[in-house]
Amino acid sequence: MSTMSRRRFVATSTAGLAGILAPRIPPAVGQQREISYLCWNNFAPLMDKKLAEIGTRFTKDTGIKLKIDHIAHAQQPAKYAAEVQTQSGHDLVEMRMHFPWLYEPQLVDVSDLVAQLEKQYGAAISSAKETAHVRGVWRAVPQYHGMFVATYREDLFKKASLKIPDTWEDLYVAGKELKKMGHPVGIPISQNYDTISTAGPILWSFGGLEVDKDGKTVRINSPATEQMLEWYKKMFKDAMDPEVLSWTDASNNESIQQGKSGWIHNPVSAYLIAKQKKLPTADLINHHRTPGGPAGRHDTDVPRHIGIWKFSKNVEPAKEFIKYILGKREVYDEYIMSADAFNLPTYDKLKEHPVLKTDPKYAALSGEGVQYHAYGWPAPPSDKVQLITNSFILPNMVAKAVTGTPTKESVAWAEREMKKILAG
Amino acid sequence: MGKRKFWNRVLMHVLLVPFLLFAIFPFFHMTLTSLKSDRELYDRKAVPLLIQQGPTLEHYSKLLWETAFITWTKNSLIVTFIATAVSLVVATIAAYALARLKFFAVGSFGTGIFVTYLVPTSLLFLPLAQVVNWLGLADSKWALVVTYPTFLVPFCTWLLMGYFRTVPKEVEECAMVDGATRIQALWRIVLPIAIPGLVCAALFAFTLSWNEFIYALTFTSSSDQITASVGVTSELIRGDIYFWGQLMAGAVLASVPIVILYVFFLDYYVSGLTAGAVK
Repeated sequence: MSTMSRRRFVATSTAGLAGILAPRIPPAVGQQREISYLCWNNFAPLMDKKLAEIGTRFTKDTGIKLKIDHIAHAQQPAKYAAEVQTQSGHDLVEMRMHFPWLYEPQLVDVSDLVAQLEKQYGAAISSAKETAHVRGVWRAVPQYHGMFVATYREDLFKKASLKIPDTWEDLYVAGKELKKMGHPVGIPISQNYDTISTAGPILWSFGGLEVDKDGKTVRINSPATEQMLEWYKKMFKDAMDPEVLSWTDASNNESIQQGKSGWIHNPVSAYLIAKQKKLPTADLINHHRTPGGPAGRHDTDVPRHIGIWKFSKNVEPAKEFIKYILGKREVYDEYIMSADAFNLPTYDKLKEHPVLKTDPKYAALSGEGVQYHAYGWPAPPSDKVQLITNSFILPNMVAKAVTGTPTKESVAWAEREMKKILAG
Repeated sequence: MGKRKFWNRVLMHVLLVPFLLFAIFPFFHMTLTSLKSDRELYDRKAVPLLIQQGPTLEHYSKLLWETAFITWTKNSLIVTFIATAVSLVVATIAAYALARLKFFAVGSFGTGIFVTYLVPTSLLFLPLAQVVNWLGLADSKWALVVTYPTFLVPFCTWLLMGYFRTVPKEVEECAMVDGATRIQALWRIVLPIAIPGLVCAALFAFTLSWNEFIYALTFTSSSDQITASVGVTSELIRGDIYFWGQLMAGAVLASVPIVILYVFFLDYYVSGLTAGAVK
């Protein structure tokens, strides 16, 4: 048996230790693989529970510890700003709509993951690509989306023999009758996102837009915008109640759930909550696809993605989690099913997902013939275009018009405000 | 009591009724809503100010057992008590120095402290996030204990400065003539006289910390570290879905510590705000 001298032992162990310490990274064996995910507080609370369950299984299957924190959607920007500023925090973050554009320099390129998912499930839907594919690079992985549909009181429509509105003009005709019956149309006209989610599609369907494709030219001052405002004015007068001027994002849901509104434009959450809380209106509510106009049928879509911060020290384990939850078909299905059709898959081949068959009232969610867009379409979602959205110019323009400001003046005001932002 | 005096008192109380209703109404409405069933809350024909379909504790039980509300409240209490105590100690010393000692630019220094309080937290949270991170306190309630004094100390200092100025110098000087040091004069003479002012500052500091939102939101994330103000709004407002019953139950329970404090210290609080140290 060969023996090692004391001098040789010291030299060998010192060299070995130096080799380990030189890269200033602990050896893989000793590393606790742990990632953290800052997720929004899902509008479908059961999806959060399912996420926790999947997270536990992920840890069991891969040995990577996963910590999931939740945050209300309205507070995401402040929290993300703090994480970016300090270059520390979570590894994975939920990204709503255009967030990947805003945080582009801070996000890891995840094109490899998206390519893999697109191979499995088909191309990502257009709204997901518009919002997460930034200047040729996927900055976040599309995971699901929630779309707007028309939610109406089927019993009232039947009682008054009203036609299901196919266009916004049809809605005006039906709305007048509904108001006479004491169940006005409930479209918010106030500083909230539901107002933008409805005003946007109406503007698009009349052929209008806020900012051009180039992202620099304001296009709000157009005959299409004026037509849209004229439509809003007559709706406000003949088919709606003035209370819509003070509504929050929750008000249209609550109005139809309580049995007041006869028609609202919203994701299916109004119906889902009515069903969960066993409200009498749950059986009376149904959905139909969003009405169209002279320039087609458009609607708002809210795609949601997962991104990885560049400052994360756990990019690979974070990618493993994304592959686990979205790349394993059975896990992805389970995740989607838990939202009860509030959140749907964002890939072409999964458009007819089994969740849509769980309730006949989800038929309208197949979105046939509807073009879905994110806010600000068709302008690229730059920070300035997003500032236009977040400054509620569109809702304020509509509010001005319906409360007595002449149409042209309202449009001119919106144009000035938008130009100021783009010039700033 | 003369007849005239009696009727004057009755009139005075009657005139106070609208103010009383105005003050009580939010609590009444909060409590009522928290005790209504979901079905009644969503019933358009229900009377908003009455419970017609029977009271329920369902919202309280959901809030207490299906969310981490107890942990959030515990965190709020820990953070609020420590931040208030620390701030009060620092502010007392600072206020005394600014009110009593004469040094270069003492007046501007006092104003400067108040101006510091006016800087909005929405501007300060980003640089403070770096400090918190540097201290290794990210995602910990202790980050709040460290950061809350940044707005509590200036506020309490300003409040106490005014109060200390109403304590006659002569009282303190007598003690010093009798051999007390300045610290002893502060501890044994000024502070006992200034108790209403201290209670008033403590109550304000407690309320400000208890209600604070933006630091709590940005410096903490984990469910076991967040405070009640963040937990309740995050968990119970989900976009266009408001869980009204539980939200109101949370508001009722979260207002209890504040109500208890104000009930116990109301007299001090009023005299701290309205009277000087010497009546």
